[in-house]
Parts: sequence; structure tokens; C-alpha cells
Amino acid sequence: MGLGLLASRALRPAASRLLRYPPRHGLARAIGSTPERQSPEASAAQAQPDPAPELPPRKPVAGARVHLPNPEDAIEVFVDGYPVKIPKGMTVLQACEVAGVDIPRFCYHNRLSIAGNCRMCLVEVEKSPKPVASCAMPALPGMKIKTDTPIAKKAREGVMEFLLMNHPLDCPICDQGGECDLQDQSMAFGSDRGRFTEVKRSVVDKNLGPLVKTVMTRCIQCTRCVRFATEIAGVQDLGVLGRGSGEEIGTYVEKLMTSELSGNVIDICPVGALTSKPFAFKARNWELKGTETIDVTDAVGSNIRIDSRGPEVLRILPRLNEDINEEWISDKTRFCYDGLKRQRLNDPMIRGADGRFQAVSWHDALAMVGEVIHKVGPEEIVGVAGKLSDAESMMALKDFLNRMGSNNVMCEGNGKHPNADLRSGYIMNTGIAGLEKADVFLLVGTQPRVEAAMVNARIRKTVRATHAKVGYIGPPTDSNYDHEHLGTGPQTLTELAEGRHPFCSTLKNAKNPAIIVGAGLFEREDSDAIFSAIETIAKNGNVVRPDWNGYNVLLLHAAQAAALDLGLVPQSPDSIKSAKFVYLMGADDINLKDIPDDAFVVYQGHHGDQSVYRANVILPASAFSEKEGTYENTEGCIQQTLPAVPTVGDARDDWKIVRALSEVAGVQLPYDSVGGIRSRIWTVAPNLVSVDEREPTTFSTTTMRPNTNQKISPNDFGMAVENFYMTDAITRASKIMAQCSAMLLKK
Amino acid sequence: MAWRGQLTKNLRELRFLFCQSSPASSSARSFVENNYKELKTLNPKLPILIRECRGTEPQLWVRYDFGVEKGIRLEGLSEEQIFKALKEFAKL
Amino acid sequence: MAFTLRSVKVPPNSASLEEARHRVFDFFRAACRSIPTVMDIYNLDDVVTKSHLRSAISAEIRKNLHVTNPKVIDMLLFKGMEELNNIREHAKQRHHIIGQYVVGNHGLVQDLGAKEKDMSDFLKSFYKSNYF
Repeated sequence: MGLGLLASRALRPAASRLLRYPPRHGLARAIGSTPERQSPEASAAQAQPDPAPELPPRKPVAGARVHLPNPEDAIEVFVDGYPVKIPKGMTVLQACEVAGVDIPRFCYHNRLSIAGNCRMCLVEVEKSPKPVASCAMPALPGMKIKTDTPIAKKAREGVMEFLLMNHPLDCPICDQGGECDLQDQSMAFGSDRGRFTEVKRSVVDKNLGPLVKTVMTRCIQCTRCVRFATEIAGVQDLGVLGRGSGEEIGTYVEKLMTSELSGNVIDICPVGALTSKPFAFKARNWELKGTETIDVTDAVGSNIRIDSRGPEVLRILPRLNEDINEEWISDKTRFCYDGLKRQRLNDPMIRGADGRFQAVSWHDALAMVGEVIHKVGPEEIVGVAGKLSDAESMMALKDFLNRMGSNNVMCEGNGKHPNADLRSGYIMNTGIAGLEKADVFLLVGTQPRVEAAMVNARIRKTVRATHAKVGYIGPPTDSNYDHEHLGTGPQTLTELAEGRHPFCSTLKNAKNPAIIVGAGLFEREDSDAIFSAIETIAKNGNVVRPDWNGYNVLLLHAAQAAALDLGLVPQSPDSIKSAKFVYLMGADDINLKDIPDDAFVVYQGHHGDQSVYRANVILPASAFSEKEGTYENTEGCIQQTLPAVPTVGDARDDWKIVRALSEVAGVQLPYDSVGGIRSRIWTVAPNLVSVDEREPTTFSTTTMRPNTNQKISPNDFGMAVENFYMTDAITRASKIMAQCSAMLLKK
Repeated sequence: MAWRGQLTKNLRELRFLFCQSSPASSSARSFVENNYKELKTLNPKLPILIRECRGTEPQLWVRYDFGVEKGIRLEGLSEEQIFKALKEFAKL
Repeated sequence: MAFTLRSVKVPPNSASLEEARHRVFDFFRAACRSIPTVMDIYNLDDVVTKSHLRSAISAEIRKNLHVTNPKVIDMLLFKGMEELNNIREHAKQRHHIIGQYVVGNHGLVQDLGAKEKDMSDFLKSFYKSNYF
């Protein structure tokens, strides 16, 4: 909570009365008698009131933009004498925020329902007998709100005193010190001394799992965590037990918080009651340097802030992005950082004749690869880009292998016959924020809860707000919103396409239907047939219209969208089975048995995960926290990561390795800087260059895709993500993720 | 017209870049709208990438073996002219 | 005779490779801490930066990376401390420092790099480090 403005306003001395009314005619201020009062003419002459003091124009708190949905419906209220126009349903606290006054609060959060139990937001409203809780009181037209009167200040001091009465003296050992709302607000609004001489109460700690550390004595019972768990995470684990000073927040039974959004209660808790267990006692927040980057563990591209101290990443916090992840991140994103420290590749290595790896210099490693690649024919060269590759390195890899004569560059997870032609066929056309407008969802072969937790949170938000209907086709899963399990396999799809299924009518009557297809279906042999069935359903349900495109594909990995945009489509699908030279750029999830035994495998990546053991040459690359890379998320929004920590050992950036290799191999690529690669990307897929922008698609696959004669196979849809906590090289190397998957997965 | 089915002989990849809404790209947009399905049905293995981005000039890029690429601007070209350019690219 | 021969405080035997490793790190730290003094003594501010000297010291230490015998490591450390003390006491001269640590191996190896003359600047800086 940005309390700079707040604290400075509180500490600024109020304008002194004496300065506004200087003594007139040299008369000292006599008690009870002034020239105005002694003669009526003089008072009439002075009668015009002081012209309303020139109030400096006020901006809303934190530079927010206020959106008035109906300008005619706007109300005017007065905050500290300053008139401000607000939309109709706003509360007094929100009106004060628009006016630039930040009111202290503990239990109020703008994304959760209103509780009104902390009483810290009390302000004085004219014509009201007692101060009102501004977070709960709706603003009425003409209200005069005063936030800096003695009554309001006394109320805040009193509330603060009560809160601190039972709060333990834990600041030196509490992880929240330095970023604690209680500390900041007591400095700004609390009184300077307390009057408490009794014994403080203490509460037993609850075990919520390996991620959230609880010290329930510090809890101030604001119930933010309870409301978050019930409303946004959808699990009703937490609750308030007891009454009065015996109130405890916890799970009534010994239950761990298994939700994938459980780490967000750490951000939400204003005091140090719920903190991050892996981050406990590691650092204070002022030692840490924050870098704003993007998460790559799934395809959502949540905006994060990596806090690092020196060469080590110490924690990951969410950043606000209204369109993608709001203020939340999933547990995998939040706690995967300790995988960045383990199993790192830091030196180029060559496998000797005895089968053991030997560390060599870059010169020798590149020379060896350059030598081998020329001994192989062009059709026997295959390149595979991994899940975490950025657009620049994939472009460099494709260019390099094309120049060597190979047209078999592919990306993991896109299947054997990826169709990269029309962008609307593989991105989320509605956009993650646009899902809020949908009123019927059809989920085909995708379990958003494990594949993209933030998309799932958005669907839940829509379902909660508008009671949208959700139909789901796939293996039985539990999700945190009500859904109708329509079926498990392609039979249900065919029924829906032919109009025989009862859900068809729901789709037809929907105003904004959304179909979300999982990228796990790319791997199926009959993917073309399945997609054409889905396109038939979309056509019948009028899902794709000029004003609303409800046909969405939910991708699984961060690199898939950019790979398909750049055209990483292999010419022959089974080329890997007959390859003699395989270049794996971070590809750890391909089937290593497909690679023939005499093939020469080069692995370029940052973790020694699975493919390293088959490699002949290892080229160490940098991870996402150490490089500046462009990633495209599942809705097509282009974002960039920034380097937060220096690269490990002798590692280099991915695209630099490919460029150096191309020079050593004799087919030097025409660019040698990031700008050069970006200009090259601009001629291939120009949307990848406009950062933080989402390009809408023009042509939809429902009308443009040629017909296919494939038959749908009767196999049911499978789960694309078996273990939510371990999906890629970084999360598999992480100890925290291992603990989570051991303790928190539903068996 | 038979050459339309023989594109994969020489070409490895076809790319259409255009803007979604500007008038300069309107001919490119209509070309794609009318002919993509046919071209793709005749050449199912050829990647025909359609990439739209606001503010881009309309271009047609063609990739041959060994990374050789050629491209032309499609501003102001009619549909037949685009077909002619494509045919020329396919021959080389 | 104001030779302040700083005695090498290292007792002759390290118990294990671990202890020898720690001694190497302590030596590196001591060397890096004396870099500002050295640059001041020999007026190296225009010639080289502190980070260059640090890399030079670490390169020298890395040359003996393969040694595993703690006694050999002790001996090398002794020689290193001796060299460090010499430099600190101004027993060497500016051209010694520049020749041995600033220009180092690059100056001597330039003739041997004839086969790599057609490397582009990109490749040269790529081999050196990731940041360029």
C-alpha cells in the first residue's frame, strides 16, 4: 500500500487559523469583540465570504484513471471540501481514492467482498452521529466527507491501539517487517504510546502446507484470507472460529491448503500472520532488487516481479496487469525460483569416447558441432525448440537450420502436424480479460485449473459474477466452479457437432459463447478431425462473429504461441526418427527413444533435466530470469522478460549461441545484435515486435480451414498436465515443487 | 492453374503480412480471404502463414531451400498481380 | 630498511581439500581488497579498471584449477601470497604489473591467433563473456 502520500498528509501541519484571519485595522484579536461584530455596516462590508480557497487540483490515488460508465449518472460528493464526480455505486472509500485521499484500511481489498470489520477506514461524514466505515458506506449525492478532522484521527489512533494490544512484539523476527501494513499505518496514524499493561493473548499456529507459513498470533482477524479463499480460489478451507478475543482463523480440521492459488494469501495478509515458508528468514525487503519480468512456467505470461539479492533470486511477487493475471499468480509461478539454483549447466561439455562428459571451452565445443553438422545431409538435421524458449532464439534456430538446408524445426507440444497458418487457430481469440464477457463456456479436452491457473481464476470470476454455464468434455476433474460434465471423449464432440446433445441449445441461446480447446489435443493423431468438429460446433453456435470471437485455444507452454507465429512447422513429421543430427534447444519433454542411437545430439539449455543424458554436446544457455527475451502468451499478448540476475557460470544467451554456431559452421546469420534479430522477426511475424500489445486476428479457422478426411478416433481425451507442480525443467529441479507435489496433490 | 498445386516443389514456406484495417492492405486481405482455402487444399503440406499486425505494410514472403528468402510489397497490387508474383516466385 | 615483510600467516598444512579451498578463497579476497592500494601505488587508473584486475587474479587462480593435493595447493598459495606482498610493498615496478596482469596472456598470444583472425567481433566477444 503506497502510504507515502498518506503519511505526508498526516504529518503536514494543518493550516493555521491565525494565518487566514490576520488582525484587521491593527487591532489585536480581542476576545469576543471584533469590528465586524461591533457594527453591522462593517460586518456587511466584510460579509462576502472568503472566496473558496484555491484548492489545488487533485489526482486519484496512484494515478488511477476513473471510468464513468454513464456520465449522466455520476454523483458529486465533497471530500475535504474538494468536489469530485464518481459513478453511482461507489463507496465513500473509493470516492476518497478518486479525490486523491488514501484512507488507511486493513480488511478492505478492492477485489474482495466488503467486510468492514477492521474499522480503520473510519471517516467523519457530516450529519452523521458517529464516524462511518468508509469501505462499506455507499457514497450518496451531496455527501460531505471529512478525512482529516480530529474525530477521524482519534478514531484511527483508537483502532490502531486496539489492534496493537494483542499483537506480539515480533517485528525483528517477522518476515513482513519493512513491508507490513500494520507498521506503516501505526507510524502514520497511530498514537505514540500505548496504554496496555495486561498479558497478550496467543494463538496456536496452523499447518497450511509447505508454502504458507502461519504465525496466527500476529493475525488481526481482517478475514482477507478467508474471503480470498472462498471467492477467488474457490476452496472454502479457511474460516473464522470463535468470537471476541478468542477468534482464530484456520481450517477447522487439519487440512492443507491445496489450492493452486494458495500463495496469494501471502500477499493479501496485511501483517506477518501468513508468510511465504520458503522465503522465511531469508531477506528483508529493502535488500532486494525488484525486476519486472514475465513468468514462463505456463502459457499465461503472468506479470511478476523477481526480487533478487546479488546473483540469487529470492522470491517472486505478482505485478498488476488487469488484462492477464490481475493481482494474482499461481503457486507454480510463485515458488519455482529455487529450481533456478539447482541442476544448472554452466560449462560447455563434450561427451568423450568413454561416455563421460568433459568440460571444454566454447571454442572447442562450437568447433566440434560445426564439424559434425557438415558431415550430415540436410534432411537428417532436426531442430526442436523447448517449452521455455524465447522468440529471438527460436528465430535464430530456424534461420540457422534453414540455411543448413533443413526444414525440420519444430517446437515441443505442438504435435506432429501443427497448423500455424491462421493465428486464430492457436491463440485465445477472446483474450483472457474478454472471458469475463462470456456467458457460456465449453471446455474441450482442457483442465484450466492445472494448465493455466489464471485463466481458470478468470472463468471462476465470470461464473460467480454472471452465473455463466460451463460445459466440460474430458476426464473427470474437480474444478472450483460448477460445471456440467458432458462427456469424456470425441463422441460427445460429434454429438454436439451434429446437434444431438442437449448442450447445443445452451450454446445457441448464449449471447457470447466461448469455446476453449486444450493444446493437449495437438498431440493426437486425429487432431485435424477433432478441430474441424469443434469448428462445426462454433459455426452452429454462432461463436465467431465480427464483434465477438469465442473460439479459443488454451496453450500449455510459454514458447508455443511464438513458435507457431514464427512458423516452426516441420516438413516431415517423423523426421526425428531418421535424424542424424538433432539440435535440442531446451527440449526436455520429447520422447528420447525416438532419436536413433547413432544420432549426434546437441543440447542447448539451462538445466540438466532429461535430454542432457542423451546429448553428445552440451551448450549452457541462460534461463528466463537472466535474459531479455520476447514471449507470447496464449492470448497473443507479446511481453518481454528482463534479466534479474547474471548468468550462471559460462552460459550465454540462446540466440547468441546459435549465431556464434552459425558463424563457426560457415553460414553466418546476418544479424549480431538483439535489434538485428528483432528486425528479422519483423519480416516473419511483425506482431512479435510490438511489446505489450495484442493483435486481433482477421480470419477465423471456422470459415477458412480446408476440409479434412480424417476420421476421429474413439480414444478419450487425456489429461495434458499430470502433475501441476512439475511441468518443465525449472519446476522439476525445484525442491519446493517436489514438496508440493508430494503433499498437496490430490491422490 | 496447375502450377498452384505444384508450389511445394520449389517453395518451403509462404508468408502473407498485412494490416488488419488499413486500406493499403485491402487487396492482400481479399486475396487471402478468397484464395487461402483453395491454395491450402492443393498444397496441404506447405505452410502458408497469415500474419496480421496493425500498421504493417502488406508483403508476400517466400522461402526456398537453404534459407533463401524473397519478398515483395503488395501495396496497390490487384489479385491477378499477386497471383502472377506468386507464380514467378514458384518457378525460380 | 623499511621492508615490512608481511609474514604469510598460513600455517604450512591444510588438513583437507576443503580447508585448502577456503584458504584459496581467503587469498582471493585479500588480493581483491588490496587492488585499490595497488592501483594507487602504480598509477594504474588510466590503464586498467579494478574489475579487469580482479578477472586477472581469478584467471591466475583458475590456471591451477586441476590441482587436488592440499599440500600442493598450500605451496601455490604461499607463492601467491609472496607475490601479493611483493606487489603491495612496491617491490615490483609498473611495467611488471602491466606486463604480467594487465596485458597478460593476450599480448603474447596475439601471434598464435593467426588462424582465428577471420572471427567477427561478435564471435570474439562471445568467447570472452555473455555481456557485450
